[in-house]
Amino acid sequence: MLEFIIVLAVVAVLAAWAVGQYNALVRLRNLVQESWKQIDVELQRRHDLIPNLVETVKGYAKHEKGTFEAVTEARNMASAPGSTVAQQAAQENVLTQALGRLFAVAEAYPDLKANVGFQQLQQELTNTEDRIAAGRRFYNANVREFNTKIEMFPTNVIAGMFHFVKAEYFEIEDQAVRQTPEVKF
Amino acid sequence: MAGDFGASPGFFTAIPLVFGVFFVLVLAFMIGSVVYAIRASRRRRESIAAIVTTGGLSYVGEDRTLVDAFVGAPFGTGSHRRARDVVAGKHAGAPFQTFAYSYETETRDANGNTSTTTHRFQVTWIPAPAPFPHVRITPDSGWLRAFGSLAGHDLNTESAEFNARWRVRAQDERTAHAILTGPMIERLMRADVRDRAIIFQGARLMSFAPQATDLTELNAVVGMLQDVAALIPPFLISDLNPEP
Repeated sequence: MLEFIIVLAVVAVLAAWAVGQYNALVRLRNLVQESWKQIDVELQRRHDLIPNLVETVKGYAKHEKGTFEAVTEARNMASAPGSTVAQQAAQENVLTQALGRLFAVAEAYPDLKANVGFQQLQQELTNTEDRIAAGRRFYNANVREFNTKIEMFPTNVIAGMFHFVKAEYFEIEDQAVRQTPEVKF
Repeated sequence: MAGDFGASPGFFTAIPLVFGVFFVLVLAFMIGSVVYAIRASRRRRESIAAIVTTGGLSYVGEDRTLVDAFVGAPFGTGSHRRARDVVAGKHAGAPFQTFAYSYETETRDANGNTSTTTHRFQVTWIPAPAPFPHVRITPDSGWLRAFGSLAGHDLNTESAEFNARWRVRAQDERTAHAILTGPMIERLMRADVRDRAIIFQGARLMSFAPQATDLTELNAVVGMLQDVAALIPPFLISDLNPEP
């Protein structure tokens, strides 16, 4: 009888531990998904700013057709649905490089740089990229914690039983804050 | 006879002499310590008075309202909590305040004897650009490890060097990650921030260090806090500020 109670107690403790680990993994997985959704919102905001930005620059530098097409194509690739996290990161990096070339073109046009609409778009884009960078840090920290928990023993036993898979990191190039151009008279 | 015990009569007269010399030495040390402490305290007050006068700053001997103005260690622990030598003014056109904070703790040894320890800190704060949730960035050094505690776990950033040097705890981890940009991490890795805690708490950005100081480093500490405030991303300030 005593042996039975001891066995029952051990089973109960193990079951409680397993439930605790499972719930912790679920909580972390949900946190990873939620933090990814926040990044997704900001990426979408970035994509939405780009058509206006391209049109504003076009008004001053019509002949830079190649640059505009590169930005538009990169933007369309990045905003297409169905990408994995790693694919999204690669597409965003291509878009970032294309935007860098667009802003380099804009530097050659003082009238464009002085345009209030352009300055506002540039500032909004900077703020959005700062949000993306902050969201990325938060997301990657959650991924790190989730992946570590999945890999470490004995939690990896529960993770394997319930098919928890590692999440992908979101590795994009962090942009330096683009300063709003100073208008000098 | 003396030879039966293996000691000369001089040995027994030397014992009181040794104890007497020892007693005098201990007494001299105690008096010296007290005199040194009084002189150090006076030098500190003179230094503070000189800094207040030359800097056009304000000075209040003690302000009891500051004792409960902050949440989290070292505030809210111990007894006889005091905020003294309160100095306020402006640095580079922006306001700041600094004060010496102290509290006492009692410990009891195995024999039931109690001893009182006074803990002292120099606290400096500036107004934060927005009301922040509680974020504590404390050095991962012995004395400060105890003051890093806040509900939750230690945040890890992508910089292994930063993680080795600092512990970050936050009520809202998303905000903490938003604060810890690359330039912010670079700033916090500089030598002038070593052994200082940086706390975001509501409308205040605060730093504290062990021991009440003579304020000779005041400009450097306030400048450091202002650097930290300037490195907070604008979108975060905009998000945290209530809409007009």
